[in-house]
Amino acid sequence: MKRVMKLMAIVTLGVLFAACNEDGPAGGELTANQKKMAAAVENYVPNVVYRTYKALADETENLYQALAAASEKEVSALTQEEIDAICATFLRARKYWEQSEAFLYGPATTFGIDPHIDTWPLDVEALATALSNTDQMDKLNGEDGIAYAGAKLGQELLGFHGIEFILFREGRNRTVAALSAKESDEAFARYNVTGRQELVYATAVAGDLRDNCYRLYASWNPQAEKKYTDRMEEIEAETEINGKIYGANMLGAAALGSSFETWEEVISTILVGGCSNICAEVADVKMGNAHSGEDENYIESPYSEQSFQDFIDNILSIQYSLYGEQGAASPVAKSIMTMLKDMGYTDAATIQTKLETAIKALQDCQAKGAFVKIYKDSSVLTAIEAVSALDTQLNKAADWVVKQ
Amino acid sequence: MKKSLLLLAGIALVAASCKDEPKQPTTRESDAKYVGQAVGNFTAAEWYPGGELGTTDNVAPGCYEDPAPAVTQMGLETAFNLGEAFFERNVTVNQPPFKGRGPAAVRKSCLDCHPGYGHGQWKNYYNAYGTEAFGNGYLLVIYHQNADNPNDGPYVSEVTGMPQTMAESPFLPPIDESQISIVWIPVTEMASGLPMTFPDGEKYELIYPELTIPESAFNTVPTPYETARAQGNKLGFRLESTIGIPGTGLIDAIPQEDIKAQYAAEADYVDLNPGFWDKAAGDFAPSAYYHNWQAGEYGAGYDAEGNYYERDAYMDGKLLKKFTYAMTRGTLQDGAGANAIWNITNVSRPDRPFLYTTLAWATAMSQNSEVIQAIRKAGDNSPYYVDVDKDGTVTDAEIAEAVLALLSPKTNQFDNAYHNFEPEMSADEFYSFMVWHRGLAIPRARNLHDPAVQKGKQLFTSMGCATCHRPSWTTKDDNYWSPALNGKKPLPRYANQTIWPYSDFIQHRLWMINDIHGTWCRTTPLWGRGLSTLNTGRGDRLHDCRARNVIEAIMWHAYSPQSDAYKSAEKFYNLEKEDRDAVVKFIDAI
Repeated sequence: MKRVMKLMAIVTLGVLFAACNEDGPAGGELTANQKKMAAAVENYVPNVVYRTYKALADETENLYQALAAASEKEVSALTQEEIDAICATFLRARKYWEQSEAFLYGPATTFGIDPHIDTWPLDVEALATALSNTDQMDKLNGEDGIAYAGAKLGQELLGFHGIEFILFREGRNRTVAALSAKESDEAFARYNVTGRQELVYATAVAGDLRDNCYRLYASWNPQAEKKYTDRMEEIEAETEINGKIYGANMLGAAALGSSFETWEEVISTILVGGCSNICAEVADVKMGNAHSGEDENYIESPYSEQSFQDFIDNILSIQYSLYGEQGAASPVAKSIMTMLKDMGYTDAATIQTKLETAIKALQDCQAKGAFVKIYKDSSVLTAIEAVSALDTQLNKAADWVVKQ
Repeated sequence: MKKSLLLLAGIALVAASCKDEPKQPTTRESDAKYVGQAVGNFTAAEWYPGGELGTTDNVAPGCYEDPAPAVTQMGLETAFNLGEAFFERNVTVNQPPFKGRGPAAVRKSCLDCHPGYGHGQWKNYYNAYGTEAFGNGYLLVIYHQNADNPNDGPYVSEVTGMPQTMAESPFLPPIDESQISIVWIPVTEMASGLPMTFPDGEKYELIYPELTIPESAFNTVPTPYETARAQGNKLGFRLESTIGIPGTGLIDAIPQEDIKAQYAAEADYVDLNPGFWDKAAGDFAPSAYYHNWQAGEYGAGYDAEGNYYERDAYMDGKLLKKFTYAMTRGTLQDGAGANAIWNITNVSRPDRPFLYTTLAWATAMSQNSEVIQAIRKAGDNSPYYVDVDKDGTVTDAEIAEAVLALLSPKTNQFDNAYHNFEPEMSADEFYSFMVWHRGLAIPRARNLHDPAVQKGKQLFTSMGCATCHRPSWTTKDDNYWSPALNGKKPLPRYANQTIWPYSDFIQHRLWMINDIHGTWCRTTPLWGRGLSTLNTGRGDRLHDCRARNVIEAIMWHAYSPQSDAYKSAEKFYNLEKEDRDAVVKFIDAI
């Protein structure tokens, strides 16, 4: 998040002490507006966050299982349908991850899960070295392959992008023929890396990815089902932050023991720490650095050429957060958007317009080609400006809400 | 405390008081309606600890990452965003533009040590690379213990000052981190005699770390143990955690003459580090000035007005050291992140052509037969093989010679007889990184409208805490120094700002058990720390994260009767619970 402070008129910078403030904090009972905020949060946490993370956890489990099954076979015995199915599962998992980026605050940040599973760049030369190392491959293929990957491979070889490299090239699914042949990437030229070695690596990394996504879900939802919490116990992963499961902490705002002292803080966290944060990241960093830095090394997801889809899913993550339900096309009854309208925020409709404009601008880019190919195109700047305009509206709304 | 620092309280901000007692603490009203207004004993300006140019009004998760308004005003957003990437991304061995690491390094990423841009986290293990690296902001401190004070003594020379536990294949790390042990020991009795229970019965707990690294962990020739045995002394081991980075550019802008006045004022009441203040002369000691610029032309720079300075000529060679616990650095642009991007992740750049390594490690690697054979096996794919042949046959001796030379800290990596590497970070990338670093805002204050926070401020001041944790400073023209590599390109500038960092930027002593290496420690700025848990998940404090909350941090100030802050901390100990809580709320609010 890189929110730019609007210069505020400070009455005086001198040592000017005010008279005693007779209007001390109210405390105690929630105001009518705070009750509306609480209701919106009580809807948001289970219907947006829990649902997204559960879907992410399940799809990464599916990805791991599919890769594990494929790595058990001879590559030449795999069918293209099997490879395509794995690629489709990867893209579904990737979609849910990108659609969770409007709530990277909390466990994703505190436990360092975001940099662990979504780091960029992938060090392809180091990957070539790793895959040609017999000892390392034996460990990845062993019983503790997942743990070995998580602890020893290094983040530059972990997460979505390492798996993406195995499954995609130049925007297309890898073919059985390509996987059966010598790895063709330039970095692998001096090594003899086989498709099976690539799938063994991808399986271990997918297992580590799955574990981290389980952890996201189990760290948010105090009622996470047993299979998720059992796995956390098995790998001894911490799920509490300062003694609390994060979702419970958020839902317990304004009560003793919660780190959120007011419901306004929670709304500000969602709108600014969550939605605005990813808005700025998409506009300024994910697109901005490549567009202004004129260096395609800053571009993520180049193998599947899904960068624009990533960005669209990021904005959808904001949409779902505001509309109150994972996948929602319009605001549900107790959504944050509905709350804004109920509280009398006159620019609520503007946020919706800016959301639509941002997604449309990104879709326009997508129609022109992959980001890695058109990152200097003027349509990218248009999209950056559209996403920034949404960011402005999100901050404006947050400023208004907390002052009510 | 030698003399009462309380007498000094008058030179700090004197808070006007309401005649009526502040209301009982209540915390359920948002502060948003009060931001920018004078409330109780706070001025309107105190909502903006970084002044107009250095404060972000964002206090949500992620707020430590914000650019200061100065960045926007100066049109530096693009550079800021590019620079941010170098802080947040992993440094890889091969992949530009995030290339580096060595082949020995302390960490692979800045973010690992500064989680959420904040202070390192309390840990009971040291992990630089694996699953548990995130948040582990510890640096190892390894030194030859002085006979009269086990906390003091010169650093060992066999490993780097910030020791490395990572190395790229086929090299071994200077220290095998799997052999490092951190044990946390509970304090059962305060040296000061204060009970471990407040007068009202509430208990507090203090713990401190015992760090050990056995000789077998060192891959150096000689090992530090061998040197210690030869010298007849013992090795000491300490932990030092990273601190948060928001607002550091503002500290760079504090006028040196004002810090000098602070030294002069404090020197009448408390012993100051003689390495910094010559009490008899009433002036800085010669060693207070920064001379550790890069060698030769690489130490040259420009000021913000575009004036050029040869090495050590800026401020006539009298730039005061004020950064890091040990106050080893004079300017942000030749300290902290400017160095760390080079020596923590070992990223070379045009003005940093040397590796951050030691001769003892280079020697060990050159003498390791497995290393030599691995290089031989890699053949022309290895930079330690491809260019070393002198007579048509690459011998083990030639490989060893190349390893020794290329891993040595004295060898120019871009210009040598063995293999010439390319700079891993360009001048433009470094400039962007410095724009980002100097451009990080400090978040606004919180809850200043809360009567409990106002009461806390009153107590903080009256107990004398504000003497060392000096509330505010005013910048002047901020005519900063910038390395010549940046040319005359502008960095965020903070002229004429009143800022509220809550530090005197002077070293004091707390005399804690297993204290910080060197005993003297710079007063840590308190601004923004109350947002640590929000941004990083934890709110650990003090140099080795031994304090897991504010109460523990304060009570460590009372551990020893010799502590410079003992009397203030003793007063805190004797407060009623409600007042102790108010002080904590105040510290969390600023």
